[in-house]
Amino acid sequence: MLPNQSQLLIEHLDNTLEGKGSPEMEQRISNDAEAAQEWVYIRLAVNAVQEAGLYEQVGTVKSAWQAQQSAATKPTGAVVHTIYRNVLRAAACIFILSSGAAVYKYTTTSSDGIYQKYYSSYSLNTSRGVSAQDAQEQAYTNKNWADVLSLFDKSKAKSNKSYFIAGMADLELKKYDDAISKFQHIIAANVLSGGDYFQDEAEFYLAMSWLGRGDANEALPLLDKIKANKTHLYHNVVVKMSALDLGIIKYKSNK
Amino acid sequence: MKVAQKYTDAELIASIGEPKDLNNAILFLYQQYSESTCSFIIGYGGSRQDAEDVFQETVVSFIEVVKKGKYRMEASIKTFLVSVAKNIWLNEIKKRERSGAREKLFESTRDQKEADVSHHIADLEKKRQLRDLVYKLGEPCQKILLLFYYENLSMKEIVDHLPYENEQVVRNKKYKCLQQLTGMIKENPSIAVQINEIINK
Repeated sequence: MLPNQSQLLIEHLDNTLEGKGSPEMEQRISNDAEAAQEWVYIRLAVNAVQEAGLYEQVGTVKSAWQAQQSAATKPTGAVVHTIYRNVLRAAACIFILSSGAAVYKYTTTSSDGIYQKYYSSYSLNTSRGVSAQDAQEQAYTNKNWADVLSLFDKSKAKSNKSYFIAGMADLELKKYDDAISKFQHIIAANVLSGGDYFQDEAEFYLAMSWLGRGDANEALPLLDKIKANKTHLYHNVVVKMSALDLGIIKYKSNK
Repeated sequence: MKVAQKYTDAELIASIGEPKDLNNAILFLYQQYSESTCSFIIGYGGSRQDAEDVFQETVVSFIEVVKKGKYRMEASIKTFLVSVAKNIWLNEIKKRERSGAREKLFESTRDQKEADVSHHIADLEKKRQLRDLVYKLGEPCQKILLLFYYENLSMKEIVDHLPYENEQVVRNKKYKCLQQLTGMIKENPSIAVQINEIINK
């Protein structure tokens, strides 16, 4: 095989994908067994990339859907009463009750409470074949949070994904400060690289970490940002958060 | 993410072919068919995690079949998905050598109306192996290859997304990454043996 043949074949493949393949290269592939074999390998490599891309995309939608499901199915604690019963008594008590409810609501609503209500564990996008997972991901899947963090600390090549997984392990262990630091790292890395790898996930769980830590002032701008962005993966989860609850913690944090 | 709109089977097929609509189509598949398919898998010995993984594989397979223009609409999408899921789960059971569960699955679903999907999913294990090779590339390589070959971004657009100086640097990097992946495939005889079969399917 000529030294630059694979480069020519890759260029030909790229051009072919754009509908601009060259007949000369097609002929070379037809006539040269070595070129034909290399061509097949290159196409298989591209096929693998496309397969991985689709799997990731489905996994991302799946995670967002699961988060939506989780937010939608958590019990609100509301009790429905028939309106036919005790109407008069309810009318008489309504002022007292509503005043009491408002006070109760105000005193019991907290950042931590919102965190407990809306937090859902992150389901790692995995294939059943464990070979797709590295040790850190396997530990995460097995909920071995301490192992996740230990493997992360030992790892020399840290990616946004490994930072995110470690951050989620911190969150599961309620080590909010550590989780915050890791999610912030992802966001900073994306700013530097111009990328968006695990950006939406980091933003949402960073906001949750701030809530868990009781720091609504840090969480609310992030939640507002997610709410304003309809294409954000966690938009629907944040939209479902009670505006009243968020308003109360905002008011409390500004006092 | 927007709330998935309602689709007829034909509309869903059309949406899968449009990259901008694909997320909504996937979300719709999850909303409409995830629970029933997962219940099916759980009913035949799978855990919740098994069921979710099988459904994810099922959705990927379904989209690929549609994108290749091989979905003929001879069966409803629901029937097709359940058939694919069943076959995937069957293969998984086989791998785990749980013959008892396999027989139960065969016996109980023998008379049900289902699409013949075996030819669509025969190479799933090989595809999974291929995917694993991509995951073994470093993050920069994964990203550049995904942006170019999956997101279909131009070199210029990739320069805007990634910290590379210019298009030529991106082009060189992409070439090296693809070479690396090709090399990994060549080193993996179990995949290489069936290479033509997969590509030409």
